[in-house]
Amino acid sequence: MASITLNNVGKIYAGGARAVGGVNIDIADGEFLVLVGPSGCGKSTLLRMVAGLESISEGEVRIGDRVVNEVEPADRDIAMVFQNYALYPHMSVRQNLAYGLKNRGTPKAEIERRVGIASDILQIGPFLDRKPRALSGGQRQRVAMGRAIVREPAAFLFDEPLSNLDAKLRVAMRLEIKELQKRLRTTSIYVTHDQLEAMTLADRLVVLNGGQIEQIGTPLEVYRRPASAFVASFIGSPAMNLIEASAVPHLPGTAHAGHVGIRPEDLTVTADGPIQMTVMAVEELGAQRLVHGRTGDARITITLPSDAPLSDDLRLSYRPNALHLFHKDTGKRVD
Amino acid sequence: MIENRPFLNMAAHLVLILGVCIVALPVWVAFVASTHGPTAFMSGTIPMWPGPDLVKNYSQMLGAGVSTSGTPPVGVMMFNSLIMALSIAIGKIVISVLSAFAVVYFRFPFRGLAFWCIFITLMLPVEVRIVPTFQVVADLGMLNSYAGLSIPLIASATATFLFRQVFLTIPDELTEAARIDGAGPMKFFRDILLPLSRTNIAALFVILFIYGWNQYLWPLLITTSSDYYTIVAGIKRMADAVDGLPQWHLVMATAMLAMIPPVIVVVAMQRLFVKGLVETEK
Repeated sequence: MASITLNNVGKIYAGGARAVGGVNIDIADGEFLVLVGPSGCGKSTLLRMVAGLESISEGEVRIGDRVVNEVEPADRDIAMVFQNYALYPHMSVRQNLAYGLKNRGTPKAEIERRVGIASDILQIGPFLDRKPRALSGGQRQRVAMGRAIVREPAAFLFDEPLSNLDAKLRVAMRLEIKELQKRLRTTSIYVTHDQLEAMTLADRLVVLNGGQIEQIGTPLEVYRRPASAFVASFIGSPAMNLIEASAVPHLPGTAHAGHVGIRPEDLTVTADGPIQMTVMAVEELGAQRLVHGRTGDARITITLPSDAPLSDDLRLSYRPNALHLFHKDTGKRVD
Repeated sequence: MIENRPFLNMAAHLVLILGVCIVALPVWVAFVASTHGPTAFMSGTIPMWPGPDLVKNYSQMLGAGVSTSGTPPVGVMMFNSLIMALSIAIGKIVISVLSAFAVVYFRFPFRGLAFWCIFITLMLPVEVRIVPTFQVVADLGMLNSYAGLSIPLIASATATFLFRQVFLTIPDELTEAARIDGAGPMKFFRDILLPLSRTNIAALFVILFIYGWNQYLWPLLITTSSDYYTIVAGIKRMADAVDGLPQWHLVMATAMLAMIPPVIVVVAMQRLFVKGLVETEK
């Protein structure tokens, strides 16, 4: 177990293209950190630099108190779980788990012991002698995690490990990963493009965009006080409404605000609300419904209880402190 | 297109049966010839049914050989052919799998050039370079030796190219997982790449074994001692009767015997062979 420090880390590819720049993150021992962002934002590159699969062009990466920039992946004391599992297809589950330990010259008895523990934790005991192709997606994912656990590494690195699973299994495995990490207390970095996965798993999450950090914080901090319009629109489902500041009447005025953000659940229907909304579509979710519509030129979405009365024209009101204002040039939060 | 009409089924079977007949007829004639006496095929009408001399002809070929045309017994030639075919097949596989490994997994200067050089040798089969190759082999004193029979035929662009394609289908993540698991390049090669290319190696072995076994021109050229005659070249020598009629019954008996090892290899490795050619999932 160890802390991980990224100090001004950057990645420039051979052609001169910059994938990641100026990233500073301190990950505490035992912390579960999630890197989240749209595809192409550099989150996987960042993870692969920590793993040692990608060279580090700028800055330094420390695992524990050791700078690992020039250290081989195998010697960084990390274990990685890949999106497509990357299990060795010709080896049984047991051999898959044992391979890394065998290469390190771990004694046979010790390998047996660790494989036993990992298969108990992940409940893959019955499959130990099967080949990966005879397993379902969820079972393969378990084996991939088992391969990480047996190593007893300083850190787990997850590269979108749930993307290949179907929706239901994804939710179940998400919870399992969270419980597992709490139990083993191993420092973890987890990459995903799914904001829901990020919110539910993270002790802290890092929102990346265009190779830069937009915001670091606990899921609730990021949700309640998004640092930029990008974060505001990326985190939360349904997404936060972003409306041109000039289109909102009686705005508690700041001159620099370009956009006003307001979460769908912060808008309520009242008879004399200041915002007029024309309803265009309704999505039923069971417990609540999503109502999509327009106010002026802007699209707007609100969540309502499923028994709330509906009409084609609604008037909406909001609490003043539920508004998020973003700068008209930089998109950063304005307070 | 899947059609299910009796007429089409019949037509399809007819075409297949015709095809089988065309392929099998010469083999049948050869077999029939190998069971008759020396004069049967000279008499003008070719017999179509086996004759009485099967045991006699085959035991002569397996035993004494044909002293008049200077060929040793079939056993010796079969053994020579086997050594040659195995050396060529195994040698080609070892060399090409290693060079494909180098070309795909290592970033060294002029890597692309190296690959294209290998690729260009496709245009230079033995027949094209036979005179200079003979010169080199003769200068190295490798005439009349197993090394001379096999080494000049070992380098293989086709096999290198095939293994390159196989390696390119192996996901990068597998390579990365092995790196994190502490497998160095050779360990990765041995523990991951070789087992994953097992079926391709088997398929290639079948093809190359038959290629080596059927070599004709090269062995004919560089073997002058009957100790190193291969079976295919031996058949040719037997048919070249200088001062008499070719002994067709014995030539055909030898040909039948020469067919056996390739057939055994194909039949024994059929399942792996097909898998190696059609399997795409890694």
